[in-house]
Amino acid sequence: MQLFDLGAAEAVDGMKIGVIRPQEYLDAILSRIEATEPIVNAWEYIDSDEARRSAEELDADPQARSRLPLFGLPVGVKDVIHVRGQPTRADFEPYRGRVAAEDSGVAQALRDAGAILLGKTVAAQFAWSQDQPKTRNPWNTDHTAGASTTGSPAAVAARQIPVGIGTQTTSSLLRPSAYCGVVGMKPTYGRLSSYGVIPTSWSSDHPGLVTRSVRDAAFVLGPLARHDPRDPHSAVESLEDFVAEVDQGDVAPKLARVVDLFDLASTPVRDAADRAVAQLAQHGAEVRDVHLPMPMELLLAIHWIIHNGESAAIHYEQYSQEHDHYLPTVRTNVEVSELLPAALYVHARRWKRRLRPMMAELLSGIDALVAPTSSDTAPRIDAGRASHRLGDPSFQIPWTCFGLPNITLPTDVGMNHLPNALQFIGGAFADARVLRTASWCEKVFGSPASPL
Amino acid sequence: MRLTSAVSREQILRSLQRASQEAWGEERTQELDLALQSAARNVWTLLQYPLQPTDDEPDVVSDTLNVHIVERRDAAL
Repeated sequence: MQLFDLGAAEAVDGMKIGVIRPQEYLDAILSRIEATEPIVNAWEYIDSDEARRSAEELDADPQARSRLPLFGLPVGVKDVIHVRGQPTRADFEPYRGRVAAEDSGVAQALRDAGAILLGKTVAAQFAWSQDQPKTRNPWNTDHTAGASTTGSPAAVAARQIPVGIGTQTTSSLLRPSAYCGVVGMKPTYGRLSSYGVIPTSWSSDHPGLVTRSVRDAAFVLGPLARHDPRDPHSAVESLEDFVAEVDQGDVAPKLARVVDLFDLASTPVRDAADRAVAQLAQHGAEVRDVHLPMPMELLLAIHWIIHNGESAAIHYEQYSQEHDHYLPTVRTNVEVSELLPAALYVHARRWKRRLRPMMAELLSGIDALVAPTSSDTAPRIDAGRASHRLGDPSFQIPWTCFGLPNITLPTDVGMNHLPNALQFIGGAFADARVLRTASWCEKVFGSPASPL
Repeated sequence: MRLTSAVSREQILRSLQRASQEAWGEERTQELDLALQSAARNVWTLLQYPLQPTDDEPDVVSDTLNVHIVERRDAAL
């Protein structure tokens, strides 16, 4: 095993006990990026000089090893999230060269925990575009890595970094993570600070993380999940020890299969998901079938009307001044969203409140819901209409809409050398339980080898 | 646009097309056709689920947190 193959917890443990020096690990990461970036195109910006300075400072601080939970861990951050001293372009040309004067909540938490903020990973424009970004899927470069969090999962899959940070407003973190065969987690709404994230839709914007194992997700989530008074939606919570939860996860979980999503999946995805769930049952998981307590088309309508209303409010003035720089699918989104009456937005929010207890009831008495993460594997980059090339977002909407925590795991590698994946969904603030469940399932599936 | 469960998807689409022509012009409205159809489908779907004046208030941004606080309080009782 080479240094760049190490997972986040392994690498940090090695650096803390002095077996690996932070500079040595960082050099291995930078060499790996140099070797694979021409294939993957995962990065918008890398500050290797500043990263080396940070590694040297950490190495020179005698207290840092014991004090900092993410000591020396290099991290890539989606390019809609501010990192002090680095540009945030959001794939929008007028923002080129704008350097963030202050860290976002997530970047600050990473920095405080001793992580090295290596640079910015590719994001679709404003995390809202369906135009194909430059990033390619490391498993098959004829296929998309998904979006809008596109660089972070591709970079983690390609062993360029052990951890990537992203966001999900509809399906922007778990779907690309599934396409790239890595673990993607969207914690409960409010768990991670949204301060300093360029907004897409305030009520649905979730920062999240991408790793190569569930334990690594737990390992990184702990230091990030803290209250941030600058974010009005930030949770005030006594936090669990996520790693301890994962390490205690020997008991087979109680799962509920969301039949609606299995039925809507493409045949290859449904077959792979059925096989994977059967594997879990053979190993002792209790699996029963459930249906969404409301029609899927109502959930989609609620989500899109709220999303479009908030996104139009975010963009209308900037759009009127800079519309030439908006990509075609974002132009379309803005122009259509501006036409929708405000009463519809409020009506959608009334229905959201009515449905929330039904969703909570669906999750009672089980550890997690289980479903395919996406209706299909990663589409070809030249497939059909532009809006279809990044894949179908709908399988994430029931959970994103209600702020529920979910995590995607690769189950195997299937057709076209592309990963299949399942998602596990828990109740609000049951993040530790979702991690423990996913960790048990991960042991059944095993982890895929490196695609490159 | 008329907001009622009795309105048809075609009527909603025509309303959106008229609004689009006024905002973005005839040519652009034709380019937006697929997106307008998709928006009309979502609007029509939502309108099929009417609510009475005394039914639920709108969800607020932090409802996820509120639900959790209530669950925690109930669990503690």
